[in-house]
Amino acid sequence: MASGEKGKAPKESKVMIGLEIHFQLKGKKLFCDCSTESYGVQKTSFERILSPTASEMGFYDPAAEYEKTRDRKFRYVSTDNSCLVEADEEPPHSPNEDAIATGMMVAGSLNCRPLDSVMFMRKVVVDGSNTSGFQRTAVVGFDGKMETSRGPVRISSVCVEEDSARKIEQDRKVEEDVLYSLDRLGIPLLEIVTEPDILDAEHAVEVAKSIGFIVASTGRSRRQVDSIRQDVNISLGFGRVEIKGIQKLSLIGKSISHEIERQRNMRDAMEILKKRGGMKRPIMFSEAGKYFEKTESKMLKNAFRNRLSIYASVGSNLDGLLKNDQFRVGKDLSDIAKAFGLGGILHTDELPAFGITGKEVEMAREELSPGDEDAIIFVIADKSKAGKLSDAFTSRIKKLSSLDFSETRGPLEDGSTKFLRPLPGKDRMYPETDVPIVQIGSDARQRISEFVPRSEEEIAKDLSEEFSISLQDARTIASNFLLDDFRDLTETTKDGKLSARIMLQTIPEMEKKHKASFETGELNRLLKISTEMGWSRNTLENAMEVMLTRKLDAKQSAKEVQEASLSEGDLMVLVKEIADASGKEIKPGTLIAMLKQKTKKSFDPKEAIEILEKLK
Amino acid sequence: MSDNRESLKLRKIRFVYKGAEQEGTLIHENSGLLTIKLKSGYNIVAEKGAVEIKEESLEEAPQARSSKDTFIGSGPGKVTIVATGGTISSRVDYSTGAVTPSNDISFLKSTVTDLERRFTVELESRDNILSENMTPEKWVNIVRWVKEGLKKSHGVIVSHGTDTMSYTASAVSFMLEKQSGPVIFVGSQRSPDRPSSDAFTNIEAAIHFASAEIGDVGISMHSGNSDNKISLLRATRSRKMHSSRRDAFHSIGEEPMAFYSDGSVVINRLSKRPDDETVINDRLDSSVGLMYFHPSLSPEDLMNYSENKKAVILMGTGLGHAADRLIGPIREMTREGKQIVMTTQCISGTTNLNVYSTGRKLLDAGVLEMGNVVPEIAYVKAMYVLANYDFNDFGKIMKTNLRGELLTREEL
Ligand SMILES: [Zn+2]
Repeated sequence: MASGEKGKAPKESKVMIGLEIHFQLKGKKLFCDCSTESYGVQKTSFERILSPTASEMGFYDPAAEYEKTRDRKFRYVSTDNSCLVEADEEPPHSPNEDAIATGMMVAGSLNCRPLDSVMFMRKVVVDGSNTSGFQRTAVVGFDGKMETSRGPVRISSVCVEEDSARKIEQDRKVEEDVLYSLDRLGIPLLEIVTEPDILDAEHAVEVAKSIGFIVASTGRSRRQVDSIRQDVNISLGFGRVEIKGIQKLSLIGKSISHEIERQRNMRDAMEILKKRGGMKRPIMFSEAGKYFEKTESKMLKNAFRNRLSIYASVGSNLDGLLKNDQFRVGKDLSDIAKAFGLGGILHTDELPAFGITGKEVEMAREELSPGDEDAIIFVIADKSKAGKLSDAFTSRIKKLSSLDFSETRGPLEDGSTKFLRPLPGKDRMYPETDVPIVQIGSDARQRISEFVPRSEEEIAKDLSEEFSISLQDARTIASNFLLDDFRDLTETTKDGKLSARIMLQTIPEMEKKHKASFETGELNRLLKISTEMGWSRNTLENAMEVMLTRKLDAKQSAKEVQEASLSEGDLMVLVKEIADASGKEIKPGTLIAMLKQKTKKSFDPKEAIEILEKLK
Repeated sequence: MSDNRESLKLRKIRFVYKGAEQEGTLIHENSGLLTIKLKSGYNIVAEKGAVEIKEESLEEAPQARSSKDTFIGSGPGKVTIVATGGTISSRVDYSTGAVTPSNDISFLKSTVTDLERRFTVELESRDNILSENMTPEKWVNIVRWVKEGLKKSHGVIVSHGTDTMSYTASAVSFMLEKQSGPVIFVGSQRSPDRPSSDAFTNIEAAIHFASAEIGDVGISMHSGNSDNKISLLRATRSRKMHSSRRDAFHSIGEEPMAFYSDGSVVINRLSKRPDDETVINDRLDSSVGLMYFHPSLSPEDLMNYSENKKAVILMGTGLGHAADRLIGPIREMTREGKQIVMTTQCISGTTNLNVYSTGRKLLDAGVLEMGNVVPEIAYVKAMYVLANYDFNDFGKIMKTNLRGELLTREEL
């Protein structure tokens, strides 16, 4: 695919969208006796090397080869909910049959053909996210179909698999230093894959939601921050792009629209490049440190101090394409540089900037004797990385100019995406011989066939009745997949209405107002204190605000608020004083105003009025 | 291993299962069950009667990228790998899902830094025995191969399954009267078809250890859970202490002889220098037993077990004790000329039969106390001593430190 001239250049076609949705299940992990939930305790850490070549069969896997060029070691930290199995120090135990049954229920509801025996496979993954170097996965049902408002969407398969380890940090400077926590590794995951029958962003959200309700109806789904992850496969004629790991439903739509726009702009940029005669010189970074010896740029001075240098290359015919109102080829290359552990790139479409002067750029530029439509690309790196990057950039531009945009991308908060890695080749799988084949017995089959998923409206109605909350609130909770969160919250507050308000109003409004977010654990502790102390909603909300704005923990926030608020007894004394002086027929508004004159401490107006009523 | 890949054909089928027609590869048929690889890569298992095969054709299987080279590199460090079992490398055929052990050592080029410049590695595939099927006769074969290897190389690596590796390695150590270079046993706790296998780093370290100036037999396995440090353990103090962890092998009562990390060997404790030549005493007398004392062990059990054996290693409790009821039978057996050797089932620490009265009675009954020799090593040593020394000297030789198996002092 190196040259776009010989073959027919790809043309934009109908957009094809497919989803891969992952739901975590709660309870026990898939292959050991560890809980899916962690108390957040980190234990010991260890370091591993994965050898992608170990199981090669002469098949070239671009993703695996790509990981290899980056030459990484992986560090892991064990947690209270991980054992020797997650550390790859003990063979897997028999699979969690509850998880398999849940998978079969979901498969059945999606009209899949259920399998009678479930056989786990090892899917080779060498990015470090699995200590073993593979992910254990089994198909439980295939060839299904779901009805949507815009026609049927086919379901390719429903699989039960183990979740990967969670990346907790990646040090930019030391690219091999990726730290993974084992808390998430091995959590049962349902993977539901659709055929590319989805019509647009809106349709994708509808499909994801409907599948979500089926899974939620099993009552086995885990609802934590990253418990649902969606991969979107999208193609508009320039190869398949996989956007991996979208966590919020609301981001699916945005990501799809962004991606379509990005691909169209990239195509336009590449067509201009082609008209100019294509890439005439490969990217070849050479040291350019000498032109920046007297630089005032902090970024560069810092780099020199760290024994890095600045390297420069001609970007053949790329002038104006790296960055302008429409084109962002520079960002694309920058993503690649970042994947190699560098900070990104600098280029002549945006320089002078960052303390680098036009004169410095000009000196470096002259040395390379570029053509009129050439750009200059700079990178701060060491020699070996600059060399690797020359090759990586050259093949990147070749690939893009052949209008082959296929790759794996990662979602960003604003709906845009960034390059993650090449698309993996066909999954390389072989049987997991350490795990016996699970036969689905007639009892299990019976139980599975009895499962009936509930619709969004049914779930909302039940919720409204069970917790005496408004149907409106119940609908919001159901459609945002907050069901289990809501149950957990109500377990703490013992008050459905209060939970609904806190969840749907207080938290989002406060977070928006103060541009900060609550730490879930601490907030829960605060709610517990509130329930135990019998606080009014007012006091609780005051405490929450204190917690959020002053970054205090639960105990401190509670103390602050208690010190700053009137006790019930004190409030009663004050109300009585006012009533004695001004008469019991005083208007509530006046009472509150007079109370506020008498005390600087906070109180719940409702409570004050109730006291007044009682006095009558 | 014979390589019959040339003739491998894939059975591509178009079939109907559960009402859906699809394509796949028929992997095998076993007691009425079909295993079919779907196009997605997943295998499914289905009853033969439930699958209707519509079309079948044979297709050439993709050729494996495999090297049959038995030599790699051209560096000065000459090392011979004697493959006896336990897999050095594996091949995974993703078109069928089959994993086959292989003796392709080309992977070393990418896993060992500077391999081709620093070392010349020769592979000799000698046998393929599961660890549990090893016997004293096979140990004798191995020491002969080791001797041949030492003739042409500086050091020899023996690849071996881990379960009985300490027995084999210590037997080889005893039979090597003199050794001109290091003999390094290596295995893996995770099979090499897995990207996370410990085989790669264990072998990498073994190549480095086998090029060092060490005149001992050692075991090259992980020091901890990490891949960044490998220990060289003295064979005659080694023991597998965990069924599955990478760091299963421990050196009992002494620190490892050396470590390997970041491409270099660090000697941790002085070991014997290599000898000028290699001399073996390749005889073992396998009429030796090893028995775990337990609270209900009866005199009859002990006597029956000891019949036809010249020596029995007892793993006593604590400092080396056994129940009073066994003292009479033991006295009887030692009078008949059997050697009853006492070790401790604590594994770590020494026997001392002078501390308690039971111990003194056992000594009086003719028990030979073994000090801190690891029970399994005492068992191997007894075979060697019976075959190569005068029977009357058995006790004296057993209590003499021959290959580092007996520690005269243990540090805190
Ligand atoms: Zn576990």
